[in-house]
Amino acid sequence: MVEVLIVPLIKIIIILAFIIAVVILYIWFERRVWGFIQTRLGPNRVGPFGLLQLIADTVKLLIKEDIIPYRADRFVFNIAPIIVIVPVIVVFGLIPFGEGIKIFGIDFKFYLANTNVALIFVVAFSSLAVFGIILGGWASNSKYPLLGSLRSASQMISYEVALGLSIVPILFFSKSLSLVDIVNSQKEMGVWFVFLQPIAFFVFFIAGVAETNRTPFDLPEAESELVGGFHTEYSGIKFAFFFLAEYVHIFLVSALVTILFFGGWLRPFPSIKFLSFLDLIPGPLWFLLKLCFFLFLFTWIRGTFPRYRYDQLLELSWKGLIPLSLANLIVTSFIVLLVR
Amino acid sequence: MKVLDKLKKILLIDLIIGLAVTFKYLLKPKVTVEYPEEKIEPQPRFRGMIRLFKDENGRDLCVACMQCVKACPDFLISIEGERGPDKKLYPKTFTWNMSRCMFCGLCVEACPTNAIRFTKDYELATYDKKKLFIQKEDLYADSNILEKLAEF
Amino acid sequence: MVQVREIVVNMGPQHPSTHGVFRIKLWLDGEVVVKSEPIIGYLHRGVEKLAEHRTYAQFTPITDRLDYLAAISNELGWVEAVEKLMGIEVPQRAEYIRVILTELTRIASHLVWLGTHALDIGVMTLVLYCFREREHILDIFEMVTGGRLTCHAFRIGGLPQDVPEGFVDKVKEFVEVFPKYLSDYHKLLTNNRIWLKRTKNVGIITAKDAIDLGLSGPSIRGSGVKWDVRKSNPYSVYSKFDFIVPTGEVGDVYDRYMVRMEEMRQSCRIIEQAIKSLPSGEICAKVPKVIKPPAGEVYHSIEAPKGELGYYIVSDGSTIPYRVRIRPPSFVNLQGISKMIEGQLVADVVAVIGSLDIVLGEIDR
Repeated sequence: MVEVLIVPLIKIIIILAFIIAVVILYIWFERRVWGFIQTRLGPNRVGPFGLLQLIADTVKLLIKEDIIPYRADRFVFNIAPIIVIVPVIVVFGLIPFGEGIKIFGIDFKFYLANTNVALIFVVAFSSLAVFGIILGGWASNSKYPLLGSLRSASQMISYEVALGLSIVPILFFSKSLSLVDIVNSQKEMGVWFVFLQPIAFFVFFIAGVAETNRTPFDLPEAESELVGGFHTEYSGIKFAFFFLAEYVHIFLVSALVTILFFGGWLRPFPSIKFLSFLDLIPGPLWFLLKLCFFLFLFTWIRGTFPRYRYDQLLELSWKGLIPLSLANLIVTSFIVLLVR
Repeated sequence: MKVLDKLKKILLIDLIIGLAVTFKYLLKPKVTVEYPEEKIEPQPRFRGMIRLFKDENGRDLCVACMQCVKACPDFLISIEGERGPDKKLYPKTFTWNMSRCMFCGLCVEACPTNAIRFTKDYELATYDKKKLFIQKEDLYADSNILEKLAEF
Repeated sequence: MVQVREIVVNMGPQHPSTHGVFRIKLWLDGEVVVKSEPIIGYLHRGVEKLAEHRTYAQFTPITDRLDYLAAISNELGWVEAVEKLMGIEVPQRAEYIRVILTELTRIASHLVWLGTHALDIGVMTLVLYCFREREHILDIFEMVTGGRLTCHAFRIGGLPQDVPEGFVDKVKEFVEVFPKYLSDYHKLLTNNRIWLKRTKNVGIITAKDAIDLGLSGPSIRGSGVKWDVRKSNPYSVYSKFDFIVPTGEVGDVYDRYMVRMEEMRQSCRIIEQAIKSLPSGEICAKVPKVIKPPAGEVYHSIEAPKGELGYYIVSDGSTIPYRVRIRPPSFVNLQGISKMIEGQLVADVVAVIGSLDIVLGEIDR
C-alpha cells in the first residue's frame, strides 16, 4: 500500500519541485553567463547575487493584463500554452537520476517509473509539444504568428526525424529501450557511449538544440515577420508558460544527452578500478554535474553564434543530419555484425 | 591545402575558435560600473551644467554684455542688465532655459570675463519641467539647485 | 479555385532590426520579396530650415546631430565648406588634429555598425564588445572637447583650444590596443560558417547599378568600384597620408562587411601616421569675430563613414546663410535597397538593411 501510493506521490512532488528549481536556477545561470561573456555583470541586485530575479520577472508577468486578440478562438488560445508545457513535464517521470537507496526498508528508486519502452515514449511524447505551438499560432488570428508557428512546427518535425534516427545505434549496445538499462549497459561495457558513437552524439545534440528553438536555430521566434513568431500575441502568464516550456525542454534534452551518451549517474571511466575513489561522489551528483555542463554548453552556444535562415535550417536537417545518422547506423551495424 | 580545409570544415574548427573567443571574455574582468554606488569622474573639460561665478571680492563677474545671449543657437539665455552703484553693469535677472540647451558651449566661449563656465554636474533630471527655467540666484556656484531639481 | 496572392508586410517604424524609425513595405510572394517601398520622414526635424535662421558658427553644433553616431565628421564637412567659401587657410596643426579626430569618429561609427549588424543576424555578444571599444574613443573625445557623443569639436578656422596634455599618449595607446580587438571580431565572424551562409550572395548589387543609383562609401566599394573622396578629391591633409582603399568583388553583404572591417584598420594607420608627424603651431586661423562670407555658393563633400557627405551653401553676403542643402550619404544609399532585396527572402531584408548602415537622423534631417 505504502509502496504503491505514498512513495510515487512523494516522488512526483519531488520531481516537480526539482524541475521548477532547476529552471529557476538555470535561467539565473544563463543570464549571468551571458553577462559575463559580454564583459558585464548579469543581474545582481535582486536578492543575493541576483538569484531572485526570475521571481521578480514572474510576478511582473503574472500581474500584467491578459490580452486576447479580437476574434481569436478563445478556447484554443487559452489551451495552447498548456499543451506545450504538459507533455514535457510528464516525460520527466521516466528520467532516472540515480540508482536508488533503501530508506526504512523501502526500496526508494530515483525514478518514478521504469518501462521497457521508455526511450520511445520519451521522444514521442515530448514531440506533442509541437501541437501547442501550431494551435497557439493559429488561434491568434493574425498573419504573422500563424506563419511563425508553421515555420517552427516544420522545423521541429524535421529535427525529430534526425533525433530519432541518431539514437538507434545505441540500442545495438544496450539491447533495451529502458533508460535505466541503457545506463546499466554503459556500466557493464565500462565505457560511455559517447566514445563508441561520437557521430550519434553530435547529431543528437544538434537536433536537440533545434528542437528547443534555440540559437543558432531560433529564427521562428527571433526576427521573422516582425517580432515574435507564435508567441507574439501572448501576454502575462501564458507567455510565461511558453517561456518556461522552452527551458524545461532544454533541461529534458540535456538530461537525455547525459543518460544516453555520458553514462547518467556513472563516474568517468567506470571500468578502471584505479579511479574507484571517485565513487565517493554519489551517483545523482555526477548526473547533476554533467547536466550543468550541458546547460552551460547551450548557453555558451547561444551567446556566440549567429542564427541560420529558415531554408538553410531545413536544408541542414534534411541534407545534412539525416543522411549522416543513416550512414552512422549502417556503419555501426556492419561493425557490430563483424565483431560478434 | 584542400585536405586541410576539408578537415577543418568537418571538425568545426571555425565554430570552436568563435567559442574560444567568448570563453576568453568569460574569464576576463568585467567593465561594469555599478551606478549609483560607483560613479565615473568626468574629465576636466566636461560640459556639465552652467554656473555663474563671482570674483574674489564677491562681485559678479558678469557685466551683462549680452554676448552669450547673441551666441546661443537656440536663444535660451535672457539677461536684464542694470547699472550698479559703482556705475558698472551687472545682471539684474539672468534666466537660462535648460530644457532645450544642447550644452554646445558657445556661450561659455563668448563670455569676455569668464563669468559663465561649465561644471561637472550631469545628474540634472527633474520631475517638473517648470524647474528647468533656472534663475540667477540658482546659477551661482554655491546654490542647491541640484537638490531642488531632484526633489519629487 | 486556388488563388495566389501577394501579401503586403509592413516592417514598421517600430522594429528592433531597422536602425531607427525606418519603415519599409514589402510585397511578398510566399517568402520571396517581389517589390519593396521604403517610407521615410519619421525623424524630420527641419535642419535645413533651421540653418536659414542661425549664423554660420551657431549652425555647427546642429550639424553634429545629423549623423549622431559619427558626429565629428559632419562638422568637418560644414566647417570646411564655410572655409572654402571664405577662403580661410587653416593652420597645419589644426588640420592634423582634425584628421585624427575624424578618423577616430570613423572607427567609432563602424563599431556601432558592426555591433548592430551582428545583433540583427543573431550574435548577441559582439554589440557589447564594440561598445566597450567605443568607450575608449569617447573618452578621448571627452578629453579634448568635453562632450562624448555630440562633440562640437571644430570651429570655423580651426579648433577652439589646443589638445590637453595626455592626448597624444592616449591616442597612441588606443592605436596599439585596437588591432587586437579587431582580430577578435574577425575570429568570431569572418570564417564562421553560419555567418558566411547568411551573408554571402545576399543583397547583391552590381557595380553598374551602384554607379547609376549614386551610391557611395562602403556600399559602392563592396561592388568593386574604387571611389573614395579622400583619394579622388583630397581635402584637409589626407594627401599626405599613406593608406589603401579596400574594395570588394561581388557586392554582397559579406563584401561590404569586409570593406568596413578593413577600413577600420586603415583608419588606425592614418591616426598612427598623423600622431607621429603632428606639427606644432597655431590652432586657429585669424577669423573675424563676425563671420560674413562673400555672396556666392559652394559645394564641398567629404568621405563620411557612411559615404559621401556634401554641403551646398548659398550665401547672400550676410551673417546668416541663404540656403544650406545637405547631401546625406544614407539617403542616397537607401535608393539601392529596392534593387538589393528583390528576389531575396524576408529574413535577408534585415541583413541588407544592416549592411547598408543607414542612420535616420541623416536621411530625414
